[in-house]
Amino acid sequence: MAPGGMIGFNVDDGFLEAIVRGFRAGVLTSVDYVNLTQCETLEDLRMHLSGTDYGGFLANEPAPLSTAIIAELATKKFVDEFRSIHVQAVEPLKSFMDYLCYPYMIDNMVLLITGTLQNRDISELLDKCHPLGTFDSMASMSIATTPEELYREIIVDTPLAPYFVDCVSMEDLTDINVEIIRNTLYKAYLEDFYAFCARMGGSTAETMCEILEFEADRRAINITLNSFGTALSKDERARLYPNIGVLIPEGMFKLSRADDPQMVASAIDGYPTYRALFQEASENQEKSLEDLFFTREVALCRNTFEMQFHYGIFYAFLKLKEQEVRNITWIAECISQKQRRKINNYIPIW
Amino acid sequence: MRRGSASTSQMGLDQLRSREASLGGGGMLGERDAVGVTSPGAHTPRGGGAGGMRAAGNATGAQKRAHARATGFSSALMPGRSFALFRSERMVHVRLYFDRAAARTTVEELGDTRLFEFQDLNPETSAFQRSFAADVRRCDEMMRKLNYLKAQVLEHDRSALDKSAYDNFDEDEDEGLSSDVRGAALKHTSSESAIGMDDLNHQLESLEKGMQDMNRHDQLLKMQFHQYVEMRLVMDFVAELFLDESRLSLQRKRREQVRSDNKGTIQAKIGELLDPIMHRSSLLDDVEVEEPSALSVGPAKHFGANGADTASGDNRRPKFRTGSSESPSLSYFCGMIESSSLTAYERMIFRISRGNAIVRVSRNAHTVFDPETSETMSKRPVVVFYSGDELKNKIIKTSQAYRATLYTIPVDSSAQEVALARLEERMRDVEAVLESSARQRNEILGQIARDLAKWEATILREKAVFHCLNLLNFDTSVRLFLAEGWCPEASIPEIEQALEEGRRRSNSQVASLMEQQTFREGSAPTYFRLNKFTEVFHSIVESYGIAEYGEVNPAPFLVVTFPFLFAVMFGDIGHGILMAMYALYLILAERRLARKALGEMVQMTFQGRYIIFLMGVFSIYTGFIYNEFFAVPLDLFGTRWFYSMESKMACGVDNCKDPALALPPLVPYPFGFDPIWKSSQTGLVYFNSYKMKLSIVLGVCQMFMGLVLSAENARYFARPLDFFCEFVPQAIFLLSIFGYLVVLIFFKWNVDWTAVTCDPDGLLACGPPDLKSILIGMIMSPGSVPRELSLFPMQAVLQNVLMLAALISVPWMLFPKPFILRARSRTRRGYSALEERSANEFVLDDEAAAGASGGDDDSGDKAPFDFQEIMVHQMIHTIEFVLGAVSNTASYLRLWALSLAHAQLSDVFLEKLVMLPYEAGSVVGMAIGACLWLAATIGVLMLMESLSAFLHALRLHWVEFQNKFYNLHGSGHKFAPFEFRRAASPADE
Repeated sequence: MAPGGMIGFNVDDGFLEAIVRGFRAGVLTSVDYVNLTQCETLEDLRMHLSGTDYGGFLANEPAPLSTAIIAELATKKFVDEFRSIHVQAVEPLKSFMDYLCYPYMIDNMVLLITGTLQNRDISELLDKCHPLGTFDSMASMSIATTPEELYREIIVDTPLAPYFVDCVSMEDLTDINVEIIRNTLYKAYLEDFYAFCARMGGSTAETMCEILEFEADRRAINITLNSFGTALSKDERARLYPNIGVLIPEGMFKLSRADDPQMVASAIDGYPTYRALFQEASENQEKSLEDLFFTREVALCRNTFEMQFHYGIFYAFLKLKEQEVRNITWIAECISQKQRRKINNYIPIW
Repeated sequence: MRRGSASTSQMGLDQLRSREASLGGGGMLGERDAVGVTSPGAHTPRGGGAGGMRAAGNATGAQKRAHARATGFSSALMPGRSFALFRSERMVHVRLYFDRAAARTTVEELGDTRLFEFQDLNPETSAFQRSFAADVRRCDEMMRKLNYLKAQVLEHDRSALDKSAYDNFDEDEDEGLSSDVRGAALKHTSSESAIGMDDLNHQLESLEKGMQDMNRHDQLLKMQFHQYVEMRLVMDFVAELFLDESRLSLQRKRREQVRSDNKGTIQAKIGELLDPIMHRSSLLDDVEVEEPSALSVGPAKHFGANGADTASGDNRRPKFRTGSSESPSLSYFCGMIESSSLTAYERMIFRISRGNAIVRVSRNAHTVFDPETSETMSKRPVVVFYSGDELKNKIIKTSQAYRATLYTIPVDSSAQEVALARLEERMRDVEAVLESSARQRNEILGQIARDLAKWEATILREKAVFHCLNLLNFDTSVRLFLAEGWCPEASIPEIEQALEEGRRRSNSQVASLMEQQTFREGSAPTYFRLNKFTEVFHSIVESYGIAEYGEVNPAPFLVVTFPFLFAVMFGDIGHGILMAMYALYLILAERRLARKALGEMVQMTFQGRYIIFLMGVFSIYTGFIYNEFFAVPLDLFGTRWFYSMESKMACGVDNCKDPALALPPLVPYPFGFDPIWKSSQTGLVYFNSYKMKLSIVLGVCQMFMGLVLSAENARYFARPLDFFCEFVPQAIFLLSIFGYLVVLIFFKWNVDWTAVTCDPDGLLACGPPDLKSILIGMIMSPGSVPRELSLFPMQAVLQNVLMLAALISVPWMLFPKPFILRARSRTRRGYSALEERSANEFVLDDEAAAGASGGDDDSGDKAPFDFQEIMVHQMIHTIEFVLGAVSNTASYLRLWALSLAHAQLSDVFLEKLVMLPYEAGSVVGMAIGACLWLAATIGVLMLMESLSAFLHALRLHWVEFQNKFYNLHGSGHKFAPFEFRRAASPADE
């Protein structure tokens, strides 16, 4: 089960690791970003991107470019890369990469449910779904009106089924329930993935567990911060915290009791990493906590490339590319809306 | 020769045109010299250009082509540029000034000469900030439109693209092959493009728009047609279903009548139906019963509405029609669904209805073309029976999710017939419209296809020109464009001609200027004019490293040594003939083959056809020396040995008075080995001894040649230190040990050992001494030579001297150079301040012309002198040479080893596969053996063995030969002239 370590890793996964490292070399560097931020129009942006690994990905788009098109095609590009790796992967890397797709499935599902609740057209919603999170019965999501139906008719076919069990007992699909479903699913997913990585052992466990713990902590903090002023009770909230992460147990306990951002800050006071992030966020008006979390995530992902013979880089590749697309979109958005002042708020990767 | 005549004709024609009758033939020649031989050093931009300008003014395409061919072919052969392959051609750094109006045409003309490398004058500016970024973008945009049209043409009909038109642009021609065709095509487009870019843009735009409109229209019609097709399929299926099942049900009913008295009510039957697992087959009855209610809704009316709907346009979403009434009892949908999602669909229907809906699927899948995705897919008609409104909505949504298209079908058979008839009628109509629009489309696409290749070339060319213009500087003070770059010194007239032609074409009044500049040593690019013959040899060298500017290029030597060393390992007349014939075929058919897509292996041999040919020819030669023809010795001149019954040994034919003495022949076999050796028991020993020694001799010669070339480099670059502190001791070292060995070899060969009379008290050896022992003895026990190893008097003294020389040469290689360098750097430091100042002045002067060339004129010279580094480097170099001298010499023994392997392998194949069956006398065995022998000869010897010999020859050249002199001071960079083929090729893919 364990992916070989130094001795056997290359037998099955060496080729793919090499490919990912190749893709990593194409990730935009800070020089590229500096150039991108100097673009006057989206046309300039296109021209500059055509000189990078993105190549002619916008070549066949007619002249007035939109940010949405850029984001969509950039996403499509890394999704294609990811898929080409995915189809070549063998177990256990295949399962690992399956796991990487689940969060997108969860997001898509939630998007579809909320969309349906607001009576949006399903095909329009489908276009908005993330391509990595597609599953067969996605389109029929709108049939379901209660969580139970949802589970019985649709989710049961997807890999998300085991995560959904806790939600079946909910009565109906209201906005807040959908949010709860999302977070419950996410929690179950994180725990499952964490266990999966831990089982794998070696460097994979080492790198992935660190990242996943961070992910869990981030979710816990975000849930807490976002829950203020909503109808979510503290008990319910505590149930959404993943059972992993460095905040366990004390930090989580304190978080579960938090009533306002101040208490959240004191809850994480004993954890230097998060305390530093909080401090920076409070001192620096430009950067939100969210951005700082992303920065931290990028740093963690970057670190995975320092080691060899582990699966963490597949995860890191996906996350870094996602961040890169966010960056490009941000820059493009700033350019098209003439908000040059904010253009430097992207998160450089290399 | 060729060059002479070609250039005479070219320049002569030009002159003839411009000066017409005023000058006779003699004048023509004189003029040619004046222009052709103008020494670039003394060349003033204007004066020299004058002749060229006028000439160029009248130059027609034909002359230019002739000219292109002349320059292409000339290279190493022509007198003025002789040794073009030996050293990089002399390059000059020039600065060109031209008017803004002339910029585009000038760059285009320069691109056509393929002789000018532009330097990027604004390296700091990113791509989109350059002056012509907008034009590049416009080209991109045009390219996008063109790609759209191309895709349309391809989609429509691949063959419609005028293949031949594309071939002209695609093929990777050698200079001589088809450059005239291509040149003509490009010229043609270029002259057009000057005016035509805007027009072309408009044309492309209108075409694209037209195509898009047409496609949209077509799409609508096709969608409609698609729906009709599907609908008919569904109708057929429904009709079949109902027909079949009603028949079945009739039988069933009869049976039931017999069995049970209770007919049951409608409701009861629906109840039956709703439990489909138990009563699957009872469905039909119920449907029949339901029929009236379905009919009452009037499906025909629905259908009419449908048609209108579809025509009106919103085709993107599938239409859903309920097949029947609002009645609370049983209703159904029918439609089409993709075969692949069928199972999931059925499962989903089952799940949402909790088994209360029944799906009926046709057994036959139909292949349907979906215009929306332009894909053909396999679809099946499907009918879903359900009951209740709640379920209806869910089924609609599910169907939507699974991309099932639902249709309304009248249930009544007569209504069905009416609907079918109407449907067919509509289908005919739509089909007719589609057909006529397809015709129209064909016509337009045909027209487009004809011009596509031309347009593409024009746009790519235009884009390349703008890219190039982006590298230039616009001097606002004099309102001139400024280009800097490299060109071969010998091509200055061509460049000037291009400048003038560019000016003329743009009707610019401002003359273009050219100015030569000084350049820093080592910054010039390396350029060799190659032809299709020298190309392959040069590419072998270049895969090792690109020659420094001015450095000796080993390629011209490779032309001979490479095939020769190969042949030493591959000596066999028969194999050589096979190889040469194959290569000859490739050479003779090269025009045809160059156009064809060959397999990877064949392509490789095609590229190396000239070297393979030479390898074959040399193999024939060495084959004659080794006297092997498919491992059979040829007795061409009559063997000089004679076997007699009296003795085991053979004796010379002309010296066989007493056979028992077995004396060698007085007159040897005139060429190569005597054929008798092949059958002799001592043959192998004899061959080995010869080949081994030969390898050493060849190796030492080639290595010494390498050393000599390093001396030549030292001379050329005026590095006396390299000559006296590296070449001289290295040569002494190599010659004193291995040169001595070679001398010994020849010495030993020259002694007639049978005639040596042995003096018991003498100092010299009586029999042939072992040369290895001599060499080992010379190093291990200097001063004493045992008698059986002495070849000549004073041998010990000579050996001592040589040893001493070799020993001295090692520290000589190691120490002087670094110390002298250090001493020099110390003296120079005293002057450094002054030097710096003068350098600054120089820069200031230069700045007046243009502040452009900054950045690259700080140099390695001023880097602080690091004695340690140089010492270490020198130490490595020395150790490498000293050890290398031994190991490289030993390495040449591979010549012998491979030659032996080759001879033995072909021997074994012949022996075991041909001779053995022949001796056994079996005809079948002989036939099989001959086939196997042929297979082994081609597969093992001609392919594998030759490949291995090739690789070993390659290694001997790269490692043993070239490391003596090539790329010792770092490699240079290649001259990359601006040319259209290269600029266009990446986008071509």
